Amino acid sequence: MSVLEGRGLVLRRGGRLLVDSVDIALEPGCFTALIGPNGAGKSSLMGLLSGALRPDAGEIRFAGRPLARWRPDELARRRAVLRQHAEMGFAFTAREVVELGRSPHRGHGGARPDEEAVATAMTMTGTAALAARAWPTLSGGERQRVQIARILAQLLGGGESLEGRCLLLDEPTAALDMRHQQDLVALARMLAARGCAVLAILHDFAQAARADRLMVLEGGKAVACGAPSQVLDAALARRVFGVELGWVEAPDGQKIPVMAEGLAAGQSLRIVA
Amino acid sequence: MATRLAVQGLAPRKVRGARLLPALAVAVALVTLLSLCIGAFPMAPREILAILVGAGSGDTAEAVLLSIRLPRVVLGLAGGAALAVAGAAIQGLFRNPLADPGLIGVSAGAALFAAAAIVLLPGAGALLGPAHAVWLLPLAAFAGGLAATLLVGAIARREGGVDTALLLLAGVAVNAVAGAGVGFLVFLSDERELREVSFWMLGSLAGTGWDRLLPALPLLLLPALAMPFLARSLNALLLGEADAFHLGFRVEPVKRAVVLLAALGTGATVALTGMIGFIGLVAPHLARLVAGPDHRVLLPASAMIGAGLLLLADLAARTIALPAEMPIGVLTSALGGPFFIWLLRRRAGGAQ
Repeated sequence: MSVLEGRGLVLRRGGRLLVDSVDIALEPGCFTALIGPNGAGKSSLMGLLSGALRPDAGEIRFAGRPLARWRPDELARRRAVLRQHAEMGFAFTAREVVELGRSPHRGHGGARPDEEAVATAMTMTGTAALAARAWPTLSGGERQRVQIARILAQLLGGGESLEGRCLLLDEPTAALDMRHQQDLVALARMLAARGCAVLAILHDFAQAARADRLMVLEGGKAVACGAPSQVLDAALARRVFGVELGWVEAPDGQKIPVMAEGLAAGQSLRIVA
Repeated sequence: MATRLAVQGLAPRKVRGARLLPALAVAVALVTLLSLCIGAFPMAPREILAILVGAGSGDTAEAVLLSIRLPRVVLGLAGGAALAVAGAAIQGLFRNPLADPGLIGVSAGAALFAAAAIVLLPGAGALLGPAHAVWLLPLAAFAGGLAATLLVGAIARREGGVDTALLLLAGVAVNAVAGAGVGFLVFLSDERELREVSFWMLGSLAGTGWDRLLPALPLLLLPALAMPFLARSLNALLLGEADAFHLGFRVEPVKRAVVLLAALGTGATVALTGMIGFIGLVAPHLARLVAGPDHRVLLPASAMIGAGLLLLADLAARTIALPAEMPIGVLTSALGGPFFIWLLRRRAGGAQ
């Protein structure tokens, strides 16, 4: 059974269809990347799936139960959401921000899983060294990583298996440098390998190709969905994103999509080093 | 800077709170004793303790202490705590350290309704009888504070939260309208009413006996006692409303409770003391400096600092111009304004 499933989702704002009859299903152990040009409705769809926005039509079920029938704290123990803009009023330390991630678990399992989850989350995101830093002194990328650690702390702490849990990431790589973007995609894959259902809005083709599944949104509609190797091709990149796409092959045989300005149809990329 | 932050990291806030709150309690107790001792009729601490435990000699000292000075000090403690907790909670809710109940118009709304009750309902007190009339002003002030809070909240509301710039501007507008309303009421009022209304605008802890204080005391104490139960929710709300929801908090009920409690505390205080500015702004700022931003420590720390500050301000108000008494609202604004500017400058040149 899908962890999170949306059917016929519609969201209207000011006469515009932001999300237009989208079906989506997030399976346990599956890392789904959501891509699409600006204004395609990616964040709106994410808002619907997280419960922050109510659909004008359609239905969302979490673990088979309609999303609206979940108590917020019950839901928060099973799914975590990273929003696009990380904010924090006042000078909490990085560790205190991460500790907030344990809020829904208070009274469920004692203090030890809390401390372990916080420590693990900060180690996994490389934020342990920032623990005592006050929020206003952190850079944009550091703030993003601390928020990711908070989301992880919310998700972890219940044993190795993350079966039945769900992670929604709205542009998690936005403020991150290359290294940390790569680490984040690896983290999403690792969490999925442990049974978590992961959905992430990504902008980089090469990163999106690392997902198990790819969903492409355009004008509020899901125009393609499936394995990245099947979905992502030059025609789609040209039609939806207006860019030319080529491929290079890694030593392990993995095909890596590369955006290539001026690449004409039928031409291919040549490895030079 | 780096060492200071490292040291902060070494002492977790829970530990700091465990040491800080008892220390603040002792400080407030000392200020309270000081306030009871000092005045036009000086008393020794030993004398005061004797009277308080019921071993007084039944003379003038006992009468002064029990019927004049004690209710005044209790009002100072409860009112200061209520204003400070309301300020701290509103700042947390709106994620803005400048959101003082006075600045966003809550006090002005309370004062307008209180002035309306004084001027437009002069017969109401007589009709209701003294037993019910004591409730009229606190209730009117509470209604005014609540109306102002809901109004600025509605004006400043944006999808996903309250816009802080709009909030402060809405506060300016509400303050102006409430000020005009009070002005109009002054224009309508006779001489006795005029004196009463002016008292509201200046603020004072003087002349509040047990008869007026006791009915309002539960309203004054409720916010300071109940708000700490919302501390975790307020912490989560600092991440933004959507993130607080994603963390499992019921955002709307929490917001309603915070706004109601803040309006209650501010309204009830304003009903008894008139307009006393800046306590709701300065006390939480001082509390954040010593206790950090975690509401679990910040709210009780703000309550105690607010109580102590208002008592100290009252002590100054009734001693610096003897035998006359300065209106305390004048004093807190005269000291609070520059302090506020200093804080702004400090923030601007600090962490950013």
